[in-house]
Parts: sequence; structure tokens; C-alpha cells
Amino acid sequence: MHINPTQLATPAFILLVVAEMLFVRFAGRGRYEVRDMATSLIMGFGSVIFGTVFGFIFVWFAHLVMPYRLMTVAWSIPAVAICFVLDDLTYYWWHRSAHRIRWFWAEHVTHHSSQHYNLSTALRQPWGGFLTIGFIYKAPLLLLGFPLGMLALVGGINLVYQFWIHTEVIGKMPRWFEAVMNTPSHHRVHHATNARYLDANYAGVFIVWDKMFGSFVPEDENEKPRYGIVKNLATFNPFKVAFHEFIGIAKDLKSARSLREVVGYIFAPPGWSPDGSRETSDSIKQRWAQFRSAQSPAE
Amino acid sequence: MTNQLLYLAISLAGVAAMVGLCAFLFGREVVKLDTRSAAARLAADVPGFRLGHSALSADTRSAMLEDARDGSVWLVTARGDGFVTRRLSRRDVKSASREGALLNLRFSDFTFPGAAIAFHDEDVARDWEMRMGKA
Repeated sequence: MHINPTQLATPAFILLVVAEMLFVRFAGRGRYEVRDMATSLIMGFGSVIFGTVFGFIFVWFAHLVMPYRLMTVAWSIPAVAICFVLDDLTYYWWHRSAHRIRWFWAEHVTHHSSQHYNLSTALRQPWGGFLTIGFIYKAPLLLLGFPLGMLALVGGINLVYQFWIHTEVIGKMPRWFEAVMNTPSHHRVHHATNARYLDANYAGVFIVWDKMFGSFVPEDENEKPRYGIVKNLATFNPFKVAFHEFIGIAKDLKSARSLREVVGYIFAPPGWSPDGSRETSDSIKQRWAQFRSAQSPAE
Repeated sequence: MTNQLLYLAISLAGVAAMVGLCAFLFGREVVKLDTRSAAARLAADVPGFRLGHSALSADTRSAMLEDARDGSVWLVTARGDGFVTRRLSRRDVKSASREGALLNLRFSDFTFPGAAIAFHDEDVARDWEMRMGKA
């Protein structure tokens, strides 16, 4: 079975971006900026090219793993449903790693590099997936025996689901929906650089994973999210957007003086440095907590 | 192959059309700064930031600000309709030179190689050159 949900959804993506732009222009809710949007669309276009050219690496990896599978899961609706839920769980852990391990962040930072949060931001996709090999997170599902085509299908549906949550136009969804599903409100928190919101809400489709694994932070209506990354990029150049963190890693490795520093520069959280002189999300959150408790000692 | 090229061409045309529509609807907005908005931005990015001295560039697109707590110097500069902030420490600034009221900064940052900040007054530029030397 070969269905590509992302390809099928592309016309809807385009129509929804146009509709959102018109809404933002005439209702004044949300923000668009020409160069930012152009960069996001070019990143999306480029990611399809890179994915097509380097997709064979994942297929090769899958064929390497599959002979060791525990069983062979046949195509059926319940199997696809179970695969979808489990795939979302592996997505959660990949996504969490992508924020906590610099090697994976080097790829994923692209998606967070816009200071805007609109449907075009959803299309700002990385080009460096073939370098980071984050697809190793799919290995457990391959070992369980889910066919490669099923993984591609549910992965595509997961990606399509995540499109509509990149918007400021929608406030909150009904309570029951907010409790279980990832929503624009939960994902705004994920894209925010406010100290209180850093490293939260990694979910793809089901927000319950964040609630289970302690990374859920609700959107506070008194603190509007500020989008982007802690050190925002001063460029709209797609190549710099795509590869700047890899260049940063290479530069740091050049100056590394021990194996510990090499490992730290690659696998420690983004912002790690041997002397602690740079900021990580943990150190920012710690400073923010200290500042808050100094401001209101009674709390 | 022909089909794939056609698909590529249609996609690129689609991207161009959407960017065109965005430009038509929103224009090319450029944010202007004032000291208060720059300080507010820094206070949001740097928990506990307390404004000391500050100066705005002549084109109001950049501001240099001092954190009164530790004398550190920060740059806030407009990019599109957003802001980029950087701490101007000795480690981050590769070189700084001044020509009259113009301060030229080179950074060791691949995505932000440098900034040329023109102040109204030569004395202001000199003052910030000095502050950066101390920071």
C-alpha cells in the first residue's frame, strides 16, 4: 500500500495558509512577514528535495533492522491504529531528544528558527535529517514487526496533523480535546522562548505523553509566547538556517581539548560549554526561577 | 523525470505566488525601535535585566543597552518585524572599530557576522566603544 498523506494534503496546506493570511490581514490576529514566510516555504520545499534524495538511507536502515523483527504485523485497521499511537510515542521521544541533545537539535532548530507562529512555520522543515539519523527512533516499531509502508503512512498522518496546530488564530479547543490532543495552544508553548515555556510540550498528536512524562506546561493567558530560539537568527538565508548549528558544532569541535569536551559539544544539551559560560535552557530557567522568587519571596 | 521537473516547477511557482500574496497583503514591515521597547525585549530575553545606560542608532533600527546589574552590554537590532538580541562580550565580538559616529562590529557568529551602528553623535559612539571594552 503506498499512500503519501503529506503529498495528498499539500493543496489543503496551500489553501489554509492563504486563508490564514487573509484572516490575519483583515482580523488583525496573528502575524506574517514576507521574508520570514519566504524562508519557511523554501525550507519546506528544500526538505522535500533532501528527503527524496536521501530517503534511501532510512529505507536501507529499515532493511538492516527488519530481519530481527519479533513478528510480522499484517495490514489491518486496528494494526494501523496501534502503529499510529506507538509511532506518536516514538515521535515524542525523538522530539524530546531533538531539544535536549545538540546533535539532534542541529537539525530540528530549523523548525524553531522563525520568530513567527503561523501555518507557514509548520512548513519550515529541516534539511539535515540524513545527517542526524534521527530515524533510529523508529527502530523499536520495525523490530515489533510493523511494515515500513505502515510506518511511512502513520508518520505522514502525524506530520499532517501537526500542520494546523501552528497558528495563533485558534485560541483554545474544547476542554476534552485540549486534555488529550496536541492543540495550537499547547504547541504555541512548545515554540515559545519565554523561560517558563522552554523545553515543554514535545507531543506530536497526543499531548498525554507530555502529561505522562512530566514535560507538559499549559499556556498561561497572562504570558503571551515569544517565538523563535533563545539566540534568534539574524538571517533569512535558507542555507544558514538549515545548517548553522552543524557549523556551530564543527567550530566547537575544532576548539575541543578533551574527549569530554568533544562528547559534550555533540551530545550535551544545546548551549552546553565546558566552562558553563554559555546559556542552556536549564540555566535560563534556573535564573528565571531565582529572579521570580527574589521578586516575590512570599510565593 | 519530466514529470518530476514539472512537479518541481509547479511547486516553485506556488511558493513564489504565496510569497507574492504575502507581500501584497502585508508589505515589507520594518520595526523601529525606541529605548523602552528595546529594554522590554531584553527584560523578556534576559531574566532580571535592569536597564542602565542606553543609546539608539540614528536609523532607530538598533539599540545598545547596558545591564545595570553587571555592566554587560547588549545589542538589540531589528530584523524584519522581529528583533535579534546579542550580548556584546569580548568572547562574542571579534572586532570593534569606530569611524566618527559609526560603530562597526564583527561577531564570531555565523548567522550574524556583523553590524554597523550609526549614532547621531560621535561622543555616543565613543562612549559605547569604551563600555564594550570594559564589558
